[in-house]
Amino acid sequence: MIDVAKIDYWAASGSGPLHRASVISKTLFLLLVVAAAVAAKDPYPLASGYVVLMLSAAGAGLPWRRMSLISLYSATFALLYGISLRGGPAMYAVMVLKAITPAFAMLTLIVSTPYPKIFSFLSTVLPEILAAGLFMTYRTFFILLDMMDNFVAAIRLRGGFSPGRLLQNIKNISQGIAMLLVKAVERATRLYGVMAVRGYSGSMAEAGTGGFRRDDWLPLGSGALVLFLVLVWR
Amino acid sequence: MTHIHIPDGILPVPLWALGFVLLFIALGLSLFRLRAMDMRKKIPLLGAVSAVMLVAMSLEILPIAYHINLSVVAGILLGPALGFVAAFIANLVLSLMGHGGITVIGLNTVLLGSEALLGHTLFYLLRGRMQIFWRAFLVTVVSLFLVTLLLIGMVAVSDLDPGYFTHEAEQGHAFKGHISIATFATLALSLGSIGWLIEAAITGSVLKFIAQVKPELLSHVLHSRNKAGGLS
Amino acid sequence: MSDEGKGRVPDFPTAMDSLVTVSCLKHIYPDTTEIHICGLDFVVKRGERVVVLGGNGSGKTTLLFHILGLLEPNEGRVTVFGVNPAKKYNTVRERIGVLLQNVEEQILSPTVWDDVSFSPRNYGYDREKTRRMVEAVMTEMGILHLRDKICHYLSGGEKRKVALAGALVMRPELLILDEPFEGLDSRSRSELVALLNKRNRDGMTIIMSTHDLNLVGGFADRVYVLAKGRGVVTAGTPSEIFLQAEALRTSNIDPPILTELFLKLRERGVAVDIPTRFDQAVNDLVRLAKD
Repeated sequence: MIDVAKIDYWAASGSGPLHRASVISKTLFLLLVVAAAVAAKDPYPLASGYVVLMLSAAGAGLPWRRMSLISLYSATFALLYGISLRGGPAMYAVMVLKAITPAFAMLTLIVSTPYPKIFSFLSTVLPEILAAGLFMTYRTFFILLDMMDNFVAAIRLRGGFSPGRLLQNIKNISQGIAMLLVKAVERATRLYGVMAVRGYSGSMAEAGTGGFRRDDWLPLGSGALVLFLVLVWR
Repeated sequence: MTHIHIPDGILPVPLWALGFVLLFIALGLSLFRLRAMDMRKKIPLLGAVSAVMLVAMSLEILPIAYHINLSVVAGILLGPALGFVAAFIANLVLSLMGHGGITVIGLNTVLLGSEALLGHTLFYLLRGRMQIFWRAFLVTVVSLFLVTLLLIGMVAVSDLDPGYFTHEAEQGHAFKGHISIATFATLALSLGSIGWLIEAAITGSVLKFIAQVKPELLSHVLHSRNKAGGLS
Repeated sequence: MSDEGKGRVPDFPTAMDSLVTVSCLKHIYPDTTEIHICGLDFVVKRGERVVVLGGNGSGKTTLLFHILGLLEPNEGRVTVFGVNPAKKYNTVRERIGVLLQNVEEQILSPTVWDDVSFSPRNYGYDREKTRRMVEAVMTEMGILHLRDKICHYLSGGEKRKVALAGALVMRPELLILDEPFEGLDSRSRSELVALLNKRNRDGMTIIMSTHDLNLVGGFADRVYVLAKGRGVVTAGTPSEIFLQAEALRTSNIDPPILTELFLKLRERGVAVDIPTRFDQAVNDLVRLAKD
């Protein structure tokens, strides 16, 4: 999994046009690029679309090189899947581009938008339990990641991981996971109790996105351009 | 674990669209079933278990980047309805973290949710028949095996043809591609069986620990039915 | 008598007779926070009781995590028992015991017995030897009666004892403790200090981090003081450190009340030594009263 803490940091600390753009426009941008990936049958327009995305990320001050590297992770699975298929280089190129282009678009969204804002937007379309569940999961996830790191460190320091002793290692990591689960449930219950005392009545954050903004031209424009290239360049 | 790592744009539209249809139906049924349950208790539990699933998915158990997903644990602790919701939340968050495509959220939730549902059902069917570790172990192996078959079926039904992605067929070139479903099935079952055993061992150990330390989590006392459905 | 307020450089152990050496390390965290621990080299000799003193954010835990091999420095050098712990911790881990600041994240097993026996079982000790080791340390810690209890439901103090027992069960040559006195009442603190001193007399080397200077006098052979952004600002014996009030204040550490009192007496022309322990201070005051 990618370094979520790093993503969170980038999303919260930037101030370029993509950071200022509305969540709804960036979500539409993502859907446009996914549509382009679904419709693409040729590597060249999609490759051009990938370049458009990189240029717009670079222009907006996002860490486009790191994003590009992270997007290549999805190419691995596209290539692995290709083992089951028989086809030529063009087919492999299309598959890889179909993987990395929407991945880059997703990264553009999450690197320029803090997760609470994304969840606020989603809460306008999701039932209350799903929206609240998303927020609780997000709040708890980072705390548990640190906790699990500490459990893993403690297991390692106390001799719980040894090369070549798979069963023992699995047993010990299971204990760490189980302890994590117990603490996660208690922590979440306490957190919910605090929320109740503070008047929680079903809304974890301000729902909605506040509508479109002036900077929305960049995500909407680049997403539309990628789809246009795929549909027109044949 | 059974999780489609296929990125966006690979699977045919009808297949992943069907995944979303199945997702909406299953989520709808789950939410309907949950409507009378105590909100105060189910949301923290849901958030906690979903978060632990995500943490587990981030742990590299073996150097080949294999990771567990604790879907059977989620099903056993949360019940089938809330377990399915947890599967959806985990998949949505994974997708939002850049791990996996958006279009496969539906299919992945159906797979993960099926593991939770099967795990819960089989675990409680076998209640009292064997020690908790072995009960959980067996249930996990069976659940993951069945869902892997479902996954293979999905891939077979997808009827992928490489010519679908290129212009060669349209231009009349003699391009013929075909899916080697046998290859995919062999890979999925052989490599998958190693994963089933690892996940089963971990699931068994985790539930054995829970049974010892916090046994109330296994008896669903947190799912007390409450007509109010809100805070009192 | 050392010069008051000035950092007199004490006789440091050489690398040849040291268990732990840390020289000018720099670590960059993923969120780009940088920690520099430079200034004086950090060296711990076999059999010493070393306290790392510093305020919040001074780098105490970062230093200890580098010694434990949990972090690898971007610059600088760390050796423990002669090896780089980040690369070869497995070769020395049986010789090191650890008590982390948050004991909740160190206790891994369902019952107290399971947790204390964690290390011997994982190092492959047979059942009988494990039983003897665990019973010995639990008796020493006074927690044998807790053997079948579920760790999760113990009190904070009991959990800390269990975690410490888990760290001591292997009779380590080096014990590392990160803020071990947090949350302990005064009686529990005294018991812990007495236990650590006893183990030290048996040959165990101890490195402990704290921000409470009051705990140092009756325990440390040597003190290293860290300050945020400045690394090791001074080092020496407790009595040498107590005299450096300004250095301590810049590290966000208040000198002990007794030290402040006796420094004021010296300013007023009273010839007194600066005590490091309460009983020493009482004796000095009685002597002054009689004079």
